Amino acid sequence: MTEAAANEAAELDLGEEIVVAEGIHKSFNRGQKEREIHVLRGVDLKVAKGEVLVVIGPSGSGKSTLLRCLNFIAPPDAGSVTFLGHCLTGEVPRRRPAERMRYERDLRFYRTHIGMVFQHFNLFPHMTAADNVALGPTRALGLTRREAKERSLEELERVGMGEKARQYPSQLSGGQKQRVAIARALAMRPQLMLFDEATSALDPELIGGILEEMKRLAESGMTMIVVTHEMGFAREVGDRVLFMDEGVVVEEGGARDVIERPQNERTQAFLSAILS
Amino acid sequence: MTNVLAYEFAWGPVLDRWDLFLLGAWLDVWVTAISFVLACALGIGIAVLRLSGVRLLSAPAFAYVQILRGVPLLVFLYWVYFGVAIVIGLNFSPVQAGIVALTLTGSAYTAEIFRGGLQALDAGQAEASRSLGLSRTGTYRHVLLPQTLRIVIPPLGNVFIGLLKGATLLSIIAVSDMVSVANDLNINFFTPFEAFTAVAVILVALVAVFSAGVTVLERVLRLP
Repeated sequence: MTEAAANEAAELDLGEEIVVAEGIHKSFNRGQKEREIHVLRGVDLKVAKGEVLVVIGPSGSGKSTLLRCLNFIAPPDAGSVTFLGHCLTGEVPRRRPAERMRYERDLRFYRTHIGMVFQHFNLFPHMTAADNVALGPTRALGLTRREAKERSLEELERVGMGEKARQYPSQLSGGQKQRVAIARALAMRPQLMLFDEATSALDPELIGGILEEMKRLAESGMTMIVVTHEMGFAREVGDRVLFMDEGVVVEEGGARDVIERPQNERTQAFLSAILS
Repeated sequence: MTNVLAYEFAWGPVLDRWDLFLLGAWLDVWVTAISFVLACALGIGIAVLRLSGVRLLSAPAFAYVQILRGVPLLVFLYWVYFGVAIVIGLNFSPVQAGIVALTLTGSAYTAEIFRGGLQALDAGQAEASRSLGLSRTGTYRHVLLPQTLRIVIPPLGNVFIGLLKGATLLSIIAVSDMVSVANDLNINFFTPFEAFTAVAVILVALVAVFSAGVTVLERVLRLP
């Protein structure tokens, strides 16, 4: 390890921010007058190493879009995301092919360090659970098939899916699919995990298991940004809560403080609606 | 009303030349097979360009499909075999010209089929792949196309059958396929009904065999 890298690592351990987003704006159907929807209207966000940030808010408030902006699946229209000290904007250098390729490569590199778990799992239906987990390590990290296979089984084992390694997604229950999806994200050994309503599509009796898995991950020191409607989880596992409405951060603070003693009217209205 | 039964069928000349018919049919089959594979490769490329979201790429791809779908195979055959030779001095053999014409025609159809197949996939598939750090190409290769393939096999089978029947037009640019065998026979014996019935029978048989093959392929690729 170079000295600079060692310093950087040391700094990170001292609670340095892993990800800093500044002034994120995002619109859909951009440039189409009537249909343009301004989803994010200048969102700032900071997450320190090992921190669990929970993002709550009514549907349509831009929570999911915010996560998608952070890993550039939906590149922000304006603003920047600084991840481990590297700053990226949504501005694609279109003119020069070489620059554009470098930008694409940076993005890919950056995404390999950010795991994402989706509401609808998004497992690849034509691959077994083991192959789903091994795809990223082989194709994005350059591991050999054997190494990836080993890592895949290890990660599946960790989420209790070792026995299901050779099953296809269609043969798994919702909860099992989400476990495989978590294993798939973790197999990349990410620095940051994004959870986009990971339990919203699950049957009620399966939600607890996935939340338990997420809690264990948080306790192991993983940095996480969690979009959820599970207030119990937010209060118990979250370090900080961010309440969003209509594309802006309305209130932000310690998880317990925000959920138990919300200051803002809109937060109060939302929480009383969701908790009653 | 004419009496149909007054005509005496003469199957002898056809049956005597069964080997020539089969040789001709074999040529139709391999010419079609090569054209089909090329048309699929081209079709995937055009479908990807159409879905690229970059107007500079998707607009020409759209125009390509619209134009090539409209031009009859017959016109392509004449263009490629006679036209190209005159205009730019590039001489294709009849079989080469046939393959080029069939590929071009086929690619317009396969492009639409692959586009439909790719669009049928959930957007979350590409998102999940990209979030793992796979490149655009890797996403297509490992995630999107393998799933698309399973959706498009039946319609691609139709394109193959269409090309196989289209290949019977190749005799007009002097490709010695089974239609040219039937033509010769007709000229020599004046038995058009028997000669072309032979072509029809062979094609129906080929299509039946091919369909069975497609069914097997679908079953092999079916996911649990």
